[in-house]
Amino acid sequence: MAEAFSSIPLMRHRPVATGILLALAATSLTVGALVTDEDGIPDDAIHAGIPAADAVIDFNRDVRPILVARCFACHGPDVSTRKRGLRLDLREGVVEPAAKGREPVVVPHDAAGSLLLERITDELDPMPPSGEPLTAEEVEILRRWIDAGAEYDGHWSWKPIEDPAPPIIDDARMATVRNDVDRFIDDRLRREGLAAAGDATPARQVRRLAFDLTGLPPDPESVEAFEHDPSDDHWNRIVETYLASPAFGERWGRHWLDLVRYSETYGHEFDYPIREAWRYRDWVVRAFNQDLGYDRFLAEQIAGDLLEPRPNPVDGTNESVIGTGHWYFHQAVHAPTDVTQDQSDRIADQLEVFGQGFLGLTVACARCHDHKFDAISTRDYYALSGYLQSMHQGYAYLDPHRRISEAVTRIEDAGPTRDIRPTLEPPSRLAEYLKAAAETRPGRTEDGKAWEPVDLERVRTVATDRDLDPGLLGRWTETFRDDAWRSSDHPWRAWVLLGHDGAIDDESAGRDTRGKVIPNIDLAVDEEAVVLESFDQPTPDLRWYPTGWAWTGADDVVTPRDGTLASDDGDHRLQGTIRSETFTLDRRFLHWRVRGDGNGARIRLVVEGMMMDEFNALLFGGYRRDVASNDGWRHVVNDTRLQAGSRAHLELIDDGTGRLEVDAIWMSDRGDGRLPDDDLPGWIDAARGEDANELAEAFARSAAGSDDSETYRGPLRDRLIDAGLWGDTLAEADANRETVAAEERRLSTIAGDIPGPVRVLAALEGSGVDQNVSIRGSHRSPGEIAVRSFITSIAGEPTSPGESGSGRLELVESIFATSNPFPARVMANRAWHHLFGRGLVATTDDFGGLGEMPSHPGLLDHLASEFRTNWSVKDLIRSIVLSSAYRRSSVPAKSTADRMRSVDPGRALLAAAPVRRLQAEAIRDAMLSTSGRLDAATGGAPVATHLTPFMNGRGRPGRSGPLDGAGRRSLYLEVRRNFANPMLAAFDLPAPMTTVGRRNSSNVPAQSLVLLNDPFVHEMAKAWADSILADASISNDEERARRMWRQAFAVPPTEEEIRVVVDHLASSSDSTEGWRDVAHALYNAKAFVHLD
Amino acid sequence: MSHDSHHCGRFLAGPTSRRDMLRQVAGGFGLAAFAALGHEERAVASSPNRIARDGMLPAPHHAPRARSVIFLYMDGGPGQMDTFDPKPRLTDMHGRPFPMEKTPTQFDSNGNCLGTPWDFHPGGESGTPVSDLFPHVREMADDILVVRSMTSPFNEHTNANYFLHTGHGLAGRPSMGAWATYGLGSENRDLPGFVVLDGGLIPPGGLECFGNAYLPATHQASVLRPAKEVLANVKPRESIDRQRRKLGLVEAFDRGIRASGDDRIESAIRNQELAFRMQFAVPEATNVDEERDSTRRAYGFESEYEPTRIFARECLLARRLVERGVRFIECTCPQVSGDRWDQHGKLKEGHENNARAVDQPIAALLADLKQRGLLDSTLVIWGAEFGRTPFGQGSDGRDHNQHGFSMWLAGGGIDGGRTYGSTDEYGYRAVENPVEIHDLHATMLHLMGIDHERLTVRFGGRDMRLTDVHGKVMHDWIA
Repeated sequence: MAEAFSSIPLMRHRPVATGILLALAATSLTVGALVTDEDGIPDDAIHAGIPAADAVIDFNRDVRPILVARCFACHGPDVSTRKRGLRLDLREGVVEPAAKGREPVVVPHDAAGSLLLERITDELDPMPPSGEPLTAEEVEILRRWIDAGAEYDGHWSWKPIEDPAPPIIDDARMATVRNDVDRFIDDRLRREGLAAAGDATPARQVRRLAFDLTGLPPDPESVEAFEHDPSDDHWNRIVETYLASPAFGERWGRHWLDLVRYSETYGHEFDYPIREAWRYRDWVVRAFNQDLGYDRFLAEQIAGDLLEPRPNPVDGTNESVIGTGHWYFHQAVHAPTDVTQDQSDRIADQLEVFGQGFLGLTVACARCHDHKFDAISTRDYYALSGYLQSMHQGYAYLDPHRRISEAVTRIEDAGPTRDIRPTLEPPSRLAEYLKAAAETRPGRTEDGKAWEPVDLERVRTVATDRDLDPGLLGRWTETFRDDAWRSSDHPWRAWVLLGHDGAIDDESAGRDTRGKVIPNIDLAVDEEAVVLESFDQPTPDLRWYPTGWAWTGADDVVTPRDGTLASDDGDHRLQGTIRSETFTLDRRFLHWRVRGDGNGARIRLVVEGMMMDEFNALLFGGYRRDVASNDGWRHVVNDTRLQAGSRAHLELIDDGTGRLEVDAIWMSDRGDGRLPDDDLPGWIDAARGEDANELAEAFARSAAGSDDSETYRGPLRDRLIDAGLWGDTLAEADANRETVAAEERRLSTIAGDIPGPVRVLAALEGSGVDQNVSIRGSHRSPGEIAVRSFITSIAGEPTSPGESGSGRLELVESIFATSNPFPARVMANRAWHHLFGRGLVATTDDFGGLGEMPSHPGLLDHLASEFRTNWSVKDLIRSIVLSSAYRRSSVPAKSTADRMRSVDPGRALLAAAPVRRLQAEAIRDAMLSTSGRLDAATGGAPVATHLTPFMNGRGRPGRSGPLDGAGRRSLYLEVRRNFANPMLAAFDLPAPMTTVGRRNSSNVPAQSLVLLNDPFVHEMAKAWADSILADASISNDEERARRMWRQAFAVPPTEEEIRVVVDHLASSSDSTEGWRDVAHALYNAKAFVHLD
Repeated sequence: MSHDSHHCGRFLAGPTSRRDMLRQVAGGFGLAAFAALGHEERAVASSPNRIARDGMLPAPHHAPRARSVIFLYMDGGPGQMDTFDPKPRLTDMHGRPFPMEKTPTQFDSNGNCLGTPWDFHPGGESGTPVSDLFPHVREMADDILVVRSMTSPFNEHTNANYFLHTGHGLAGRPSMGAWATYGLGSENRDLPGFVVLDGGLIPPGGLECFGNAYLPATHQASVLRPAKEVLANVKPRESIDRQRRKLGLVEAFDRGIRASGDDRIESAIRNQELAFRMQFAVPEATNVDEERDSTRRAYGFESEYEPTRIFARECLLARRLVERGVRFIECTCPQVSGDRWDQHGKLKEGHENNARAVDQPIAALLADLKQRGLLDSTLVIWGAEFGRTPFGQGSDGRDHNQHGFSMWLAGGGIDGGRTYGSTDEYGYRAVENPVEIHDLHATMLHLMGIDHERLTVRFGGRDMRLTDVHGKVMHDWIA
């Protein structure tokens, strides 16, 4: 077949990259009621009210929020919904006429004469037309702004990061200043007329720090030591201890997992597993523990598969690629009727996470229309979408300790491996043995289930009659007892049908189940065939992207051989996947001819990135096929009518010890037929003639002669050699078989041990695709091409990275260009949020127009600019927790307590520390820790979800995990979308659906019910009490109480509390039960789940 | 305890002050809690901007018609032409090629016209035709508005279910019940505001259909099971006496942190008291043994068919919860032989079994609500994520059809005894007055006194709402 194509003018098919995206629904923005955040404080409380009469109106702080909330929906950046051509987001829009013959709506310095003011204050028909009219305060701000000149200012978050000098603090206030952070905080407090509270008690400080940095309570000894020496130096040492603890990465890694909607199942109907997801979780934990630079941390998540590998310090594997796994923590639908829309929904989800999680920007808002409030266009959205179209979900192969790579090197150093089978002299009497064996073939047992034994006497007679080696004929005959021959894929099947079962036209019942010599589909020639790939050229037709080792050896170059592409060039144990470039399914049927054997050989058609065929073949039946063809060629036809016009790629997978070989791939509107000039093996026609003699001759010529191409000869010959039939005598056949086996043993010895690789969920590179803009978000209305690029308002005008790859490395460069202030500001703000319960920008995931202004803009930029010098998250955290602001008491200074309640009830200004509820994981982990049941092991596969009778629905796991999660930290409990851990969910563990940079911190009775009645809590209380009673170093009840208080709250009990405990024990009939009551009550105490 | 100091609390102050309560607690925790059982509390948010706060009872946008909603979810999608939308033309054409252009269905194995195996008869004085699958419901036809022109954008169960429940085709948005309690709070101090009665079939999509998503956790559905322990962790694992003694300890241990004066601590304390009361209120509310035998019989408690008995219990529980001020109740289907309403095959057997399970209980629920004067303030909605195709899948099955299907509504301000909208003569597509799920949501909220465009919450940089940017109130449906 290799030669067969070379002279034929077949239509060559080039993949067509078309932008196809559809919005599920226009997810537009509506502006409505003021909503409270988790702390019950209105988001903009700090900015509420009119600036003092002598203060300057600040466009960003005072004016923009009004325009955003009340005007931009109809008069903003989105041209498609703009009313009367009027836009209020640019100064030109207000001071120049919106259309010829109209007045500008604003006359600078003359509010009274400005139409804008007239319209918003119109008594009968005020703008905006729906919702409440503007309040008097809002009108007043706009009036003063216009009177001052109606100056605009770019949105604050798009401006470059500054490095403001920390404010000078007068000596009197320096007592509460420990570092630069405090200067910014104190400066603001002074301006608001607030006094800072002093340090919290040492025990409370340590407890706060321990939970914030490690998510676990401090051990009582550290607390007591700090009480004895509460010096700054000692504090620094504690900070360093916690930063160096493995628990640090577990705590801060979990924050990150919230951003990438980390999940171990796909949700939807059956909640199928996301395999190997946990390796990403461990990668995140390691990254935080190693203090991996945040720039590299993000870069690996975007393009870790393309970066220079970062070796894992333990086993040397490529860490970088693991970071890309987060793209694929989306929900997944197994039977989308419109697979293109499904793909576009998935990408929207990925871009939502990318935008909000990495950049603090609601990029996904621009899917259907230009962003209504921010400088993000639909073109930007589809430009980013192109990157995701140009890569796909896969599994990268890791090679711990380089054992596979070294084997590959050994194999390649031994010289080019060459199959020696073709060099063996062909036997001359093959046809005679075949004919003789047809006479000696064994019969079926009476029940038809087995074979009669070979009649050795008859074998001898026939052999003697024909001057054949009886031993070899015996082996031939014996071979007929192998049922594998009868499989439709077996290379010898034709022979079996004729030689063993009789005439091929026999329409007996048994025949029907076994089919024909050659499938009907191959009988005719398909002139319409559009060849995607035939491997008959030195350069393959499609572009192929290999991973692993099976297809390439050490090189990333794919080399077809003899007109086919095979996975076992080096050693059959090598594993790997090769992915084709993307093509469009513009014919109804997709054909491929493959052969393969053994474990893990698969071919897969992936349509629009739809990977759920792995679990559910409802609409994608056959798209993912194991290839166990007994090494015979199999012609497979896929009817793709349900996905007509979709983009697709193929994956050739060798994930085991087997092999996979592909001959040709073509599309056609016909569901049958072979490629033109694709000659069938010679024995086919002979077989149709039903003459055993002719068939035997033809078969022998196919196997040993030169009639057929190597494509067909190889499988016949190789099988015969391996079966010990390649020879004219038994001795010859044995010698040939042994020669091959010895060579394989030799190669295998050279290769040595080849372990299987570790698989990680990862992005794999594909061909570069630029998307069309989908007009109104619909993939059925393609607009202009949006070349892959970063957001234009940040990175400037784009140029496409081309077709050879996705271009994600260039994307990483754009993201970390100094012109982009978002990554540093957003992460600095996240650190602040996690340490104080509220970010400097409260809307941690939205730095855009609907987000909030920073409470301390100078401090945010100070932290961001410091952070950007080395991208060290630990340095960032250190600079915050070493401040007095962090260590402050939650009890406000008496002098300004009342004032604080009125001007800053949410404590965002940090005159006193806010009281915070612990997060879900910390509550559960603290119970494990106090009870002594915590298993501090790090990493690894998740602990199966404990199932309660209330956790019902499809996809419910067959088996429940342990009630106590095997004592592992909550981070390591399985994260199943449809079966969330009820205790963690009650305490606001977010459902992993999209970026959650700030969790809810709700306060609901279900939490109390958990603490009162959940069997896990009861079990922990019992274990805790029992361990206290078993502790021989504690001699009396008062000591026991002190110990438990320290464990639970860090602070010691009051005398009153000790008395309550002692009284309770006295009135309990059984002191063990009494202590268990105490332990359970401590878990229910509000101080247990709060930080104060 | 003043009202304004508890802005993040779940409830405003009860009749007893916190101090009084604690004094009583000294004599045994929970006495005060018992005393407070059954009180309804209502407060009005002071802000004209109407802040929808966690669990509080804010003022509705306008006078409500419905105080509660009961959603009877027909898992899998009954065929409209088999239930509430008679199609004689389809029956005439039975077995002949389907004459209209077909859009691909999920399986796309579409056959010929499949007439309904059931007869239709007019019900009530209004004469609304109902098939013989629902003889009991037919008798209540005068209270029912049949909407024959529902549409959905999805024809796959899970997407369609998320859409039906949350207005969005993927998981991650709050359920309609969560929005209702978010917007209106609960009217019962001791019971959750959003309840799912689990008949055995949690819909495809799982519990996320009933989730709170980005709304506070208190708004997620409490799933009540028809079992000994109806709600997770509501059953004490020890004697009440011992639990009270423990809570006495907790009260003593909490004195320290209360000195910080932080509202969230006070809220947590009140939640603990509420949780304590729920331990009694939930079993009380779900104790159907209190009901008269005649009532139980009317609902179908004595049916020979077990699924009927299960759904009867759900419907009776729904009425009891409505009586106690629960805001939103969803009843899910019981397991019947032959799957839920998703009859790709064995249409006759499957639909008959499913109808048998729910018909009598639903009719009894409507009658019972009416007789107790509750139907006027309770909106009952019957329906599924989509309907079924008029053409066959095989000889006795139908595929999914989202282009036109029937739902019905009763009570809560609905103008019953008529039909609204229509499908074409084969029952394939809505042709007259098509209605979207968003419209249903908008109307449901409207009847509860909420303007669906103003019930929003800021999340992910957007002001989210149940109806996204869609939805219109169907004023035609309202009496």
